[in-house]
Formats: sequence, structure tokens, C-alpha cells
Amino acid sequence: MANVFKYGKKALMAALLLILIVVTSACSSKAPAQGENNNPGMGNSNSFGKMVLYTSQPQDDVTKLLDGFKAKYPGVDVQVFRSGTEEVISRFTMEAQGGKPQADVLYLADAPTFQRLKDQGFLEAYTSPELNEINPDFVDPDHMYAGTKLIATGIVYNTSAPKPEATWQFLLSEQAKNKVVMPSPFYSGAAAFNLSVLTREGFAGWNFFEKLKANGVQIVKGNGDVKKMVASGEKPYGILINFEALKAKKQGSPVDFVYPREGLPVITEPVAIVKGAPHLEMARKFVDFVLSKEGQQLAAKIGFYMPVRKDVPPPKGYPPLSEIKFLQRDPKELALVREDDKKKFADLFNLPK
Amino acid sequence: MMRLATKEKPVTLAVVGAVLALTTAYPLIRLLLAGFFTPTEGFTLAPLLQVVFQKATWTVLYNTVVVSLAATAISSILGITLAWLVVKSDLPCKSVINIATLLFLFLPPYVQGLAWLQLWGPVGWFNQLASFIAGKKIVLWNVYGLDGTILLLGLLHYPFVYMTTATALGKIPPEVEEVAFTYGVSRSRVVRRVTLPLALPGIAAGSILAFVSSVGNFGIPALVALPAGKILLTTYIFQQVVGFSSISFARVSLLATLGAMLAITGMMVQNLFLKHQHFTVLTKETAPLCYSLGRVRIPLAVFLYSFLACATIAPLIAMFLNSLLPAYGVPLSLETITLKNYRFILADLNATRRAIATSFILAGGTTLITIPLSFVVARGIAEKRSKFYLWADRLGTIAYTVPGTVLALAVILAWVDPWIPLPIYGSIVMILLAYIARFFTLAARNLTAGFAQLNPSYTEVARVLGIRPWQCLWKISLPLLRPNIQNAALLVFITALTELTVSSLLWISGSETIGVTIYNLEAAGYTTYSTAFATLVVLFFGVFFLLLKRTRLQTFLPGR
Amino acid sequence: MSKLIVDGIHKNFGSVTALQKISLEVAEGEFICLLGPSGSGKTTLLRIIAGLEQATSGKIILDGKTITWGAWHLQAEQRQIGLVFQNYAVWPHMTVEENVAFPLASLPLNRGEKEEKVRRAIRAVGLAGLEKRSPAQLSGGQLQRVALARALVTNPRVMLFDEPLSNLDARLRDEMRSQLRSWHQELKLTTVYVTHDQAEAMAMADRVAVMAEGRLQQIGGPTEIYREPCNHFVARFLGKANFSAGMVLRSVGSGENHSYLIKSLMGEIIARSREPLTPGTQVEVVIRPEDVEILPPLARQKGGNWRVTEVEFGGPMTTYRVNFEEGGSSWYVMALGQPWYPVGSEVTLKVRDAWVLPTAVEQGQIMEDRRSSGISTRPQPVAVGSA
Repeated sequence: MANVFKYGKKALMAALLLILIVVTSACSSKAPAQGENNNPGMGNSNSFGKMVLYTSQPQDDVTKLLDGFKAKYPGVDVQVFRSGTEEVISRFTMEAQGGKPQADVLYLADAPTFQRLKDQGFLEAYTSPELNEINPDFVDPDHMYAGTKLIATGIVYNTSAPKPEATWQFLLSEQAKNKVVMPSPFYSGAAAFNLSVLTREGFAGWNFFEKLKANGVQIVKGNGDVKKMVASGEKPYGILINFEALKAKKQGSPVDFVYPREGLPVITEPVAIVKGAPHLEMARKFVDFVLSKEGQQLAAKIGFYMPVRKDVPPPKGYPPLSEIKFLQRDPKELALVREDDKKKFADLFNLPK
Repeated sequence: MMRLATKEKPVTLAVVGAVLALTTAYPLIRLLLAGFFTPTEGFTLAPLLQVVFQKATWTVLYNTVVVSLAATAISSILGITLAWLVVKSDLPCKSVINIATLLFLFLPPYVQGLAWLQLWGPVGWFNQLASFIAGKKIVLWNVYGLDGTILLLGLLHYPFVYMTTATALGKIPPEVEEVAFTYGVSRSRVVRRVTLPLALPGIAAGSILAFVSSVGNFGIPALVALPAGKILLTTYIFQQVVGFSSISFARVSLLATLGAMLAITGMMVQNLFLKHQHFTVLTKETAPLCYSLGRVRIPLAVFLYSFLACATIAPLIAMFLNSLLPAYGVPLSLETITLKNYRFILADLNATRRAIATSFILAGGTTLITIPLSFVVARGIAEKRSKFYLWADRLGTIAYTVPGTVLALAVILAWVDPWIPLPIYGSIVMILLAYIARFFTLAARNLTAGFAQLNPSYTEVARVLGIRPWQCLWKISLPLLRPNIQNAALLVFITALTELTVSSLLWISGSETIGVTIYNLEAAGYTTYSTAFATLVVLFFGVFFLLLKRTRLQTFLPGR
Repeated sequence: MSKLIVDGIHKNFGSVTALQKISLEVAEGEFICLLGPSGSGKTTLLRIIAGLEQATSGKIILDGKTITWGAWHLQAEQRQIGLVFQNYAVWPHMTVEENVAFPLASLPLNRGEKEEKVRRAIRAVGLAGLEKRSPAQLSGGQLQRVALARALVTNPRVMLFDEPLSNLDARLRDEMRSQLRSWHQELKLTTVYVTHDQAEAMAMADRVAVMAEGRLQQIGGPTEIYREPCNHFVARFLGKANFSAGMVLRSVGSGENHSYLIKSLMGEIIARSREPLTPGTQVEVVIRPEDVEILPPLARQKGGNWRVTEVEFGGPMTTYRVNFEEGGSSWYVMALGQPWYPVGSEVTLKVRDAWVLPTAVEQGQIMEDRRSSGISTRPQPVAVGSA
């Protein structure tokens, strides 16, 4: 008799599981549980109706963007892999190295990253008609990738602290001593990008970072950590990308953003088509959409980004484009020097390389 | 004394071998090979030489070993003490410790960091309290740095040691200690020389798990060690993953291999402890001997519960409170409290239902497969002293120690262009295989400890008296191992349900897990949403356990 | 009831030899004891018979069927053997009834038959009424009976016991001992019983096989091996023993009984021997303490006097330890009644019976002869000699 209850717990768990599986499978959404990307039966290249997107955009933003896309092309099935920039790149690279990239479209990171992917032969050129309205500074000369937004890095601050002066030198001042936090170039692609750009600008250079270290800057993993630290008041000042700060401010966090007058490094989060993409036509349509007026307006609305198109105004809360100075560098150069810059950074801050 | 050496049925060996090969051996082999074969240069020793001769490698490895050993020490002391107090003393309200420990296990790693920082960070409650008392803003203790890492890792993993030690202690018959008392041996000596040695298999199993978990943990070093400029193996490996050079992944592979070797060393240590098997025969299923704590009882209880409150309940409360905020950083007050985050999660977020379904399917499937698998392996090690099973066990541990990201990448590498033409890439099956590989060891540690305490006489007598091996298994071994099996199932299920690092790389839309969903929310900056979801997960487990107690089914601990 | 033949069983554990070509036969219904100190290999032999270990070489034949032949062996569960362990190994999660019934699980009997067998077995060991108890509620002795009932219920061909009484207290041990003996009389099961307690072995067994260091030292009935040990080890292991060197003077026996006059430390004594001896041979004799008479001192003997160094009162007997002069040989003497001779007193010793230890060659011969069955040898007449 006692034996019945001895296995009861296992039985109960199994039963619970079974019920849950049945119930949730029954009412789960139409997205299939098994994502098959290379299903030969379901069509070959150029088949209408499907696309695979790899992106690091926030999940919610992607969903809303895709809703807009699906409204324009009803019936299309978009499969998304969304994760941190680093994870997406490593997954894509791993698949590509294995010889079977699964993505049609890549939409993430920065220009140097895409330069590398281009150099490794993973991308496919596409001259979208929408490119006419975009500043060529932000587009690859061979049309292998195109910027989709302008993400500028500046200074975020907690509103309970005194508002910083709109200059990078503020971070080196007495006021900011031991009060600044910045993301690590080893974990954040944006931080690595910014490092390479700032160290090549006359007003900053490596000198700037040496002085930052002397002023007691704390290095954390990524932009998210910077934002949290500043919002909680742990460190009143931080180096952060603009839309993160402004989004937090919109939600009610006690933060605000300052645009240093010397200029801001700008990351363009490009979009590109993967070479050999199984669903080429759909991929092209997606790129068109992202770069179109409609798509840019949608993205700006959802994610609070600054659009890259000349004819789309930035959302409220951003200063007019004319007031912001963007710092630029040739992506080819930046791609080459990234690792060396990181090493130099590690030396400077006594980190293991 | 040598034990009954039966031959393992070839079918069993084949099945175990196939499952382990598919889930674990194959991706790990490809991972290892990637250390020597780069896509651009083919076979090359350059990455190996680079890794071996770089000072950073050894600095990082040294730091990791020191930190992990220290953290394991903390976990062990805490786990053993608590286990002993719960199982063998008359501490009041013991079930509180049980629940606190279990709840602690459920705290998803991605909110642990947040919760702990809220407590112990420079502007956390702890320091705020100190500042308040001192009258000025002070930082009593800065959690950033290796000391903070050690403490947090130690606190994080003590439930492993607690679980296995409590089970082991519960299997020690009272006579063994009573006899010592009649010889006039003092209580503390009995504990040191009789009780603890007999519980050694359990202690060892839990400690080793704590050790390899510390070695392979990414979140805590990233959060707490990194800002102080200290890099550990996992954070170092991750840096290589996002590196730009063509041999980046080769370096990743080699570093991961180093981590794996650490894990194997840990396992060999556990085997040393298992060799000294002290079999006690549970002829009576009485409760283990209980000691009275005397005068120390109440003060100790007060101290213990407040400590547990700080270490385990408080982070949960911090997380919960955070989920009531409208936005991160907004000070908590009666005006600002809102339930909108929960409303969003439960009603608005599409992914919630899918995530829950996927996670349950994955967790359930993983549990259903790893438990029998680890049972067979543990039995193989205990009863047949088989080298095959010993290595199977080690393989499983490697898959757990290797950072989740690295394992995921290995799985991708293995299945995107597989040697065996199985079209599982990108499907939930691939994630399931990865989970089985990763969590096998959680079950195996529990079951090997159980077998180490299981007196072989029980099955030997049965076999000589004519009972078939299958019945032996079903009616004797399994019932006697029930606590260990339960522990194992629980651990695997919970961990798989809230897992993140592996699924964040392997999922595709439609198969996101709970962990991935929370992570995506967090990454999008919606900290309040992610903590709300995490709180819901913890609540679920709380309810689940209350239900279990209600139905009077044996919870995983013996004793009252 | 079955005949068990062990033929040349040899067992190596790596480089260690646990059993050296052991051979013996157990007749149907015979109760044989494997007696020896720890490490003698007796448990290993038992486990090989049970099928829990494989032999390195040798054969075991049960009821005419070979169950072990070198490395091949029949699985334990197919041997129809009953086993009782020292630690009882009663399954803690089953009741008494369930414990006894479980071995029947795979037998093709219907429910009623099984229940009947279980009931009978439980009654036979005297545990009627305790069927529904869990092992936690039973005493050591009761647990032992459960283990026994469980082994008996399947009608085994051979019963194996591995030091079953070692965990019980002295009084209970005595009780169980006589119980086991009477069950054996009743059920007439072929039994192999391992123990390190020589008193237990001699009280219970039909024949005793003395083992040491993996070798069979001697096998025979209890009185035989006690009174006619074939070597030092056996002599010492079965009880206190005194040894003396001596020289054969002449034969004093007749016919089958070999008795000789031996010149020894104690003067001239009469000793039994297995084989004929030639006068002038050097021999060693063993003399049991109870065969030495302790007497008040006579006039100073040539060579010196015996002096009492220890006195141990044991109830019905007193054991004296006497030394010959200072630092000379030390002998044990047992006398009925209370201690008469205090420590330090001078005494005279008179040997009433002695046994000549066979030479090594002869030992081998003895083993050959005694290997096959022969239930209890008749007690030998004791020669009473006087110096």
C-alpha cells in the first residue's frame, strides 16, 4: 500500500507536466514549436512567404516592427532569432563557419562589424531604392550594408545630481571624480566602437582615457548596467547610448542625457542580406521596408531611435539633428584596429587581455 | 569487499552510449577540434600556443580556482551546518530553512545579480542601513571585487551541499552514534568522527557540484568581479567569443577545455571520497539521532533565521519590490507602487504563454530523460565499477562546467552541419539535447551519492534468494534511493525551467524559454517587467511546494 | 537437501590470493562450519558458493549440477540457495511479511500457495503475530529470524550463513545457536556456516573446516579437530594449547591406536599419534590445559620447578598460567573448581594426555583423507599416562 505514495510525487509531476503541455499546446500561438529554416519541402530560394531575421533589437521592438512589415506583406512568415549582439554574431559566425548560415537578414551592431562580415564574404550586395534618401556616410560604398538609425553615445546622468556640462571634459573634472561609470569594450560592441573613434579624435585621444582612469571611472559590462547604475544613483554619471537613456527617462527613471559639444560617436546598426540567403526576395523587401520612410517612422516611434533618413524627423525629446555633431571614421579602419584598441585599453586599465 | 559483478546488458550500454554520444560527446568533440582547426587556416597549433603562453590565461585560471575553492568552502560550511541543524537537532521551525533553501534554488540567475546588488551594492539596503546608523554616507563593504564574488558564489551554491548532505545525514542510523556515546565520546567528537565521515559521500557530491558550478558561473563574475577589474575564466572566455580575430573561437575552445579539466579534477576528488565507502545498514527506518541544542537553541535560531533572511529571502523581496516599480530607479513609495508590470506580463506579452509552454516541455523532457540515464550511470559506477560509466559521468560534468555560451556554440557547430545527418538544427529538439547534456550532472551527483550510501547487501541477498535483477531494481534499489531521485528530479527540473545562457543562443522564434523572455525584457531595458516575470516564476514554485506538502507526499528531506 | 562439492576453488584478487585451491565436500543434510580468523578467506568462499563472486579456477557442483567452473558461473538467482548475512540486510521499506514473501515473487505459484509458504516460514522461526511489523520495530534477534525465514521460504538446496550471530549479545547468541541447531535437526538442510568463533563452530557443526590465509588447514568433526589438531595454527585457534618438544622413546599402544612414550620437558609422557613413529624421532606435542593436572610441589624436580604466575577464575573452572623457572616456558593449566594455588606458589604438573603434531607431509595426507564426507568421528580413547 505504501508503494502507491512512494511514486506519487513522480506521478504528480508527470501529470502536471502532461496537463500543462496539453493545455498550452492547445492554446499556444500559431508560431510553430519547431523552427525549420532549411526545410527543402517548403520552397527554395526566392520563395515568397518566409524570412529569417537575426537581430539584437529588443524583442518587443522587433515584434512591432515586424507587425508593420507583415501588414504590408500579409501572409509572410518571419522567424526571428533575437539575443545580445555578441550572441547573435557568434551564432551567425558559427553557422557560417559550418557552411550553413540560417539567416536571411542581419540587423544589429555597427559598421565595423559588418565590414568584417563583408570582408569574410558573408554578405550580399543590394542597392535598395531607399538608399537615395540616406546620407552616404552611413552606407557601405558597395551597398553590402546600410545604416538604419543613428545611435549616438553621450553622457547620461541621474537627475538628483548636478547637470553635467555638455562636454566630454566634464567626465575628467573634479565634480565627476569617482562618479562615472562606463561600459567595457570587451563586452559591449558599442563601447569598443566608441573607444576606437574617441581615441582617434583630436580632442580626446588615449589621453582622455588615461585621465578618465585617473579620475576613478568604473567599468561595467554593458550599456544596460550603466543605465541601471545611473538610474539607481549608485553612480550619478555614465557614458551611454542616447536611446537607452531617453527610453528610461520616458518610462519615469530619474535620468537625463547630455550631448557633448565636441561630437558624439555614432553607431548605425546596419541591416544587410546574407550571401546565399534562401529567401532573397523577401529579404530585399525587408531591407526596403526598414529603410523606407514608413519603416523609419515606425522604428523611431517604437524604439525611440534617431532615424537615418534625411526626410524623417527624430522623435520628441531629441535635439534637432543640426545641433548634434557626429564623429565618423572609416569602418574599414575601425574593423582593423578594434582588437589592438581593446588590448591597449586592457593595458591601461590593468585588465587581463 | 568486492561486490557482485554482473555484466551489464549490452542493450543498456548501447542506449546510454548513444544518448550521451549524441547529446554530450559529439558537440564537445567538435568543440575540442575547433581549438585546432580554424576555418581559415585548417589545422594549426597557433591558438594553442597563444593560449598557453599568454600570461592572462594563467592569471585568469588561478583567480578562478582560488575563487571557486573559497566559494565552495563557504557553500560547504553553510550547507553542512544547516543540513546538520535541520536533520539532527531540535532547532525550532525547521521547515523554514527547507523552504528558504529551495526557494533560493529557484532564484533565476539573471535576477540574482540584480537582487544582490540591491542588497549589498554600494547603494544597496545594507550600506544604506549602515550609513543611516553612522549618520553619514559610508560604504561598509563594497561587494565589487573577488571577495564579493566569493561570497556571492558561496551563497548561491550552498543549496547543492545542503540537499545532498541532508539526505546523507538522514540515512545514518541512530545506533551508530549512540554506541559512541556509550563509550563516553563527547558530542562534538561524535559529529566529527562518526556522523560527518558517514555522510561524506553526500557532502562530497554537493561540494563538487558547488565547485564546478562556481567555475562555470558567468553572471556573478560579470556583475561583481568585472567592475573591480578582476576577470575570471567565464568572463574571459566570453570576451574571446565576441572577439574579432579569426582564431577567436579556437581560443574559446581551448580555454573551455581548460575549464573542463578543472571540472574533471574536481570529479576525481569526489571519487576519492566515494572510495571510502562506509556502508551503514538501515535496518530500522527510524528518524536519525537528534541532538538537543540546549541553551544555544533560541539564540542560534534567531541568528540563523536572520542570516537566511538576509542571504536568501531579502534578494527575493528586493526582486519583488523592484517589480512593483513603474520604472527602474524610481524610489519605492506607496504612490509609486503599481501592478502594471504584472498586467503586462500576464495579459499583454505574447511570448508569455509560449515561453511557459516551451520551458515546461523542455524541463519535463530533460528531467524524464536525465533521471533514468543518470540512474543507470550511477549504478554502473557503484555496482559494476565500470570505467565506461565513470567516464560518462565525467563527460556530463564537463558539459556543465563549460560556460553555457560555449556549450551552446558547440551545439550549433555540431548540428548546423552535422556528421550524423539529423535535421534538428534550429528546433526545440536541439535545445532539448543541449539541456540533457548540460544538466545530466545535476542528477548524477545526487544519484552517485545515493548509491555510495546504499548497502550492497540488500541487493546481494535479494539476488541470491532468487529475485530477478529487474525486480531487485524496482522493489529494492529504487525505493531505497527515492530521496536521491527526488532531489535529482527537482534540481534538474527547476534549473532547466529557468535556464538562460544556453537557450539564449539556441532558440528561434516560437521556442523561446522563460529565461530567454526575461532576458529579452531585461536587455530591452524593461527591468521592471523582467523582475515581475521572475517573481511569477518563484511564486509558481512556492505554490508547487505547498501543494506537495499538502498531499503529504514525501518531501525531499528525511526527519521531521 | 543437496550435496555440495567444492573442488579446487582458487581465487585471486589482483595480486592477492584469497583462496588456495580449496576442496571439500558437504554431504546431504550436513552442517559444516567454515572457521577461521578474518582474512582467512572463509567469507570469500561462501560468496563464491552463493554466486556473488567469480572463482579464478576450480569447480563447484551442487546436486550433481556444476554451478561454478573457473570463471564461468551460474547467476546467483538461479542457484536456489538461501543466504543469511551478518547484518541481516532485512529490507527496511517492507514489512516482515513482505520481506519473507518477496523471494517467492518470481516463482510460478498462485497467491494462496505463496501465502501458505510465507505463513509457515514465519511460524517456523517463531515470529508468528509479527507479520505486519516494519523492521524498525524489531529487535536484532527478531531481525535475524526474519532473515532466516526469508531464506527458508524458497526451499533452498543449501543454506549459507555469514557470521549471523556476531551482532547479537551473548545471551541471545546462545539462544539462537541452539535454535539454529534444532532447526537444522528438524529441516535437515545442507548448511555452510561461516564464523570466527570456535566455540560456536564446535557447538553447532557436524564438521568444521578450519581456514587460514586462504588455505584449508584441517577439516573434521569438532572433537577430532580439537583433540587431534594437525598443526600449530589449528591447535591454537581452537583453544588454549601447550606445546613441548620431545623425543620418541617407544610405542605403548596397540593395534589401531598409536600411542608413544615421549621424553619431554615434563618428563616422560604418553602421547597419541596419527601415524606410526620410530623411536628416536624428534616430535612436537600439544597438550590441552584440561589434560594437565596441577599438584602441590614434590621434592625439587630435576630441571627446576613450576611457579604460578596468573590465576583466572571462570566459574566452573580455574585457569592457571604457570612458568617454568624464570622466563622459561609458559603453560596453561585448567582445573575444576576454585583456585587452590595462589600466584607465586610452586606447583607440580602432571600431563595426562598429549597429541603428537603431524609433520608437514603428513598434514597433506590428512587433508586428502578427511576431505570427503564423514560425519562426526567417534571420540578417541584417551590414554592416561603417568610419568
